[in-house]
Amino acid sequence: MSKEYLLKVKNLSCERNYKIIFNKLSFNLYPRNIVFIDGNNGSGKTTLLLCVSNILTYSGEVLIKKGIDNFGYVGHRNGLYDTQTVDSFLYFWKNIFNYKKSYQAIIEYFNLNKFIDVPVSSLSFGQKKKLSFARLIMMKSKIWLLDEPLSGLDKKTKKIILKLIQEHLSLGGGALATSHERISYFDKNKVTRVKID
Amino acid sequence: MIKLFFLFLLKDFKNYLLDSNKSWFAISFFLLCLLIFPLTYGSSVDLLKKTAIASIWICALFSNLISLESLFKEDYQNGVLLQYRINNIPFFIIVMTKCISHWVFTSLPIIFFSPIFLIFLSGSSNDAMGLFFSLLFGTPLFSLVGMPIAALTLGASARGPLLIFLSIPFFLPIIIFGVLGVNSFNNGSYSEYYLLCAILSISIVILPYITIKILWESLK
Repeated sequence: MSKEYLLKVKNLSCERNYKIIFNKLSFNLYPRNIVFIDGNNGSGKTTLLLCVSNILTYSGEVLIKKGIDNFGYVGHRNGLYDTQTVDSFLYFWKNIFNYKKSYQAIIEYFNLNKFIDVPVSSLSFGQKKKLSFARLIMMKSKIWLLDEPLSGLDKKTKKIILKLIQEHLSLGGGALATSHERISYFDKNKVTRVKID
Repeated sequence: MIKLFFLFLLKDFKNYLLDSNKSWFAISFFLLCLLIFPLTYGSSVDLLKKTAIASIWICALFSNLISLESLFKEDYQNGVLLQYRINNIPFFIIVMTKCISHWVFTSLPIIFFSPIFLIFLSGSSNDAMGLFFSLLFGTPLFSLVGMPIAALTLGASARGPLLIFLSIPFFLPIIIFGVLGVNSFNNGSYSEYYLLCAILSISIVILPYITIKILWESLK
């Protein structure tokens, strides 16, 4: 029986500056599943995410389930303005994504109540990461592209982020994540591992 | 779409107001440049009077050049531009709101206070109206023409000098028509103004699209 995929990557190859980054990668991302991209530094994990999101040019096929028109992306650079406060940041993205609910629940989930009027420039690395995940929630995208989502975070924050990803998967979403660490938080049957050399 | 436009415009205005490097720096630089002319001419008031309009235009050009560098820099470096691209947010809105806010915070104060600057440089008060309109039609071109160049130099290491060297040849016709326009304004000839308006109309249509293409390429 063939399952309906969220994302199908077939023979994906990418070349940058006359150098082959990866060659003929194939994998499928199904609802409630997570695909981990393993590889050393500089092996092209971020490049793969950017190819999937159609930012970089590639050869091969990237098929996305009909009806999905955007990706949720969390990368190395958090995509935050230093001058914005936590509140103005959330208000801005809530309006962009037409997020109907109040973002108060998101603030509480990430324990950011105390920092609501604090400018982003004064936040720690982990708090900035939490904010970029807060934006991801408001985006309501089925497919999440996560570039090293846990790197540089403490145990408590890692747990919050992993729980959030688990909730996203349980709602029928999928995630494509790169990570140095071997994460064993998710159900083994729901995890696919793709190795880039 | 309109809601999105105003949302981005408000965000950019706030960003300019809160980031002192962006707006106040350009205006301060303009005032500082302006101060140099009377100091260097000394007692030659006649010379100062003759060059008053050109001096104001040159100062406006320099303050625009200074602030152009930061037009897309922050968005590019902190990854917001990539977020916009991945989430299919129309880049036309992003580019236009950036251009408007850049003009509002670097050129609009200069336009409004240009009669005062003219008096400061011993210029003729008859030229005040002409200068006001020449700046009004000319300075948006600084922002519009500078936009694709600012996008083009995003990844470059020596961004500042490169931006200045690439921009000045494109800014020269604007300055020439702007200064000539003021001189002929009192004689009832408005040809330079028409020309500036024509360039402005074409630039508003074409340059944002060129900027969008360059920004997309810069993300690759």
